[in-house]
Amino acid sequence: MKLWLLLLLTMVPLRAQISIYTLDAAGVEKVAGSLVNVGQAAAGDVLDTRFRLRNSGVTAVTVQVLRVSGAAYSLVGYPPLPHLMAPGTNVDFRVRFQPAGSGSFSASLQVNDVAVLILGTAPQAATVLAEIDGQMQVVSTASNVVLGRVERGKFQDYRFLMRNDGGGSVTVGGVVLSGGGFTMIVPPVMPVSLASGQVMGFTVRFSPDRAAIFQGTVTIDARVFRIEAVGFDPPLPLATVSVNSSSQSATQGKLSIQFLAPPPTASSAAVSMEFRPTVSGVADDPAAFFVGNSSRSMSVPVNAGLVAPLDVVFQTGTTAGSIVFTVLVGTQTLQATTTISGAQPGIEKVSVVRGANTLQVDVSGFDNTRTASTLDFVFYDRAGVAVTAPIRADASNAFRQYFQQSTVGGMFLLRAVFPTTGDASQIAAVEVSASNSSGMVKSPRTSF
Amino acid sequence: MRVVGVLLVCSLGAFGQSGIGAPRAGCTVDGDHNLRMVWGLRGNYIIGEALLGFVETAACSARFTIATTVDALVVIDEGGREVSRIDAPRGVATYAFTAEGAPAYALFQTRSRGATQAHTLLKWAAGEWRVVKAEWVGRALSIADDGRGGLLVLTGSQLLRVREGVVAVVHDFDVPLTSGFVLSDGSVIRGEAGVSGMNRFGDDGLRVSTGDGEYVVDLQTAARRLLPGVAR
Repeated sequence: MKLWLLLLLTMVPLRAQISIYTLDAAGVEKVAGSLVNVGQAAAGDVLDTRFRLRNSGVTAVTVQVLRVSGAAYSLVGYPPLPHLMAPGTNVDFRVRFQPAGSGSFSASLQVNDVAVLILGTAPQAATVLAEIDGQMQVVSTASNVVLGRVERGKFQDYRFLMRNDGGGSVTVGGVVLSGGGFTMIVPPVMPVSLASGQVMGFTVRFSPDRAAIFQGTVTIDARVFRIEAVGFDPPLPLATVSVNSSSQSATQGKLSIQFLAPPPTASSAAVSMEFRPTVSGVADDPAAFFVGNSSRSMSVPVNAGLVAPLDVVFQTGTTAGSIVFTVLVGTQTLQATTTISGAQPGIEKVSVVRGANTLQVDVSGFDNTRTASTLDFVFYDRAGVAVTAPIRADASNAFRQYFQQSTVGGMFLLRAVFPTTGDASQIAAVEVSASNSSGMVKSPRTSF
Repeated sequence: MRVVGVLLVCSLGAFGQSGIGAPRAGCTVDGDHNLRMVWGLRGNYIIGEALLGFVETAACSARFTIATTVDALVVIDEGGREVSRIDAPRGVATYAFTAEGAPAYALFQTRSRGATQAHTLLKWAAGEWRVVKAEWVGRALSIADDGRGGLLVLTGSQLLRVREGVVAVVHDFDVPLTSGFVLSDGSVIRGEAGVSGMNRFGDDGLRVSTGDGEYVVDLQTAARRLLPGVAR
């Protein structure tokens, strides 16, 4: 006898541990009694009601049974079973009412051994159809009505129909459209009574002003249909790419991107360049890059309506080799190559500084073969007469050592010092010749 | 062949043992107000590491760089060493070099209303700056050392020569200048629309700043080359 009493005392609190609530749109709880009226939903539409279970006891309890039985009802977002609930914890789920036709619908929500009766009504309402992919399709409030894609700056009209599929008449009180990018074309006159089989339509225009996903709603009385459409940028027209000039070292050239038609929208092109040296022992040239950012890749804005070529300025560096340009524009990948051939040294500038019994000659230039060897200096007097035979300097070793450590590619500044005797003020000009494996070059005569 | 001076042998020197080094083209001030050397030749530039921070203006010859930071006037030699640093006078600085590329003048002008323009003129002599008195009317767009002890001052309406305190008008401009650069021989390079600054760049170049970036004008050939942006 004592044993039975103990069991009874234990079972009663267990049954009462789980409390059942409904939640309104604001999340406010309301104790669910033995009957819950979920409200109205038209045929095909969806009406979700949020439920909450709470373990209001002081010990854990396991939800073994959680189901809803009855046509037009289903559970959404419920936990896997069995579900252990610690004291004081909640678990939420939704009961979905989605009637297939009009009428009243009931179901039983079973939580372990507790049952709650659920009621819902599907009033007579118009069946709503929307033009999707060129065809009229029945739509519901259960899921987004995806209308389609429209190019930015253009528009597309989508037809909606309200059709009375029932036996009696249906009254539609109003149709309201909301959402940026959507406008109602020729709004229907409301309210309207649709006889059985009667159809009434309206048109929604989608005109995107940007590339984006646009969302809105079509509200027919209390039924809210979520609509969605995509605005997209039109593809860039085909383009060609070419390299203007600059098959020589130490120059700035232009990579030109020419669209075959003006781009309808603003976008960007990704340009990159790869330098491939042909000089033995030389891995790269640090001066071969795009001028805009001293880098080998950059993004170039493409303006809408661009007619002229889009030029990207680059430097060729001072190393023989080739430069391969790659342009990614829209869906196209374009390439162009320019070859920098090995050439005789370039003498950019010769300057002379007079010192006490010396003449210091600075020669700045470049050698894109890294084989510079001899330099010849010829000095002239004020009458333009050569005052010496060519003075030759074999700078092969000096150049080799310099180029091995150079951080500026093939560019150099050579400083040569000439001791003088006599009246050095009579020496007034100099010519410098430099040689490498590709030949010899002579500077213009430099006066000083 | 007539020998007026006996030239013996060529020796390579001044760049360590090799006598060969990297050519310096000029200098620039990046968007973060760092002074950077520019290495290279015409049309093949490499922007070097930052040498000096908080720089407001800078100009350079092949041998020297003059820069003004928020509080100092600094002279840097071709090896990157500071050879002078003094407190900077108030105002926006403009610089001039000698024909040999040595510092010559630094002019600091404060913004003022009306025609009156307050300025401080410094002259480089014996390795240091000295204040010299020279008065003229109007804001100087550019100054130059005329090589004969005088200072050329380019204002928006006139080219002036200032020598021993005496101001002489070299030229009146029919069309006022909003920007410009004067060379030591008195040649004036008028700035195009949108030019915000013109500074010497090496011995033969002019660094022109615009809202879109900078370019270098070769004063020998008038060729224009873009100055690379700083890699980020």
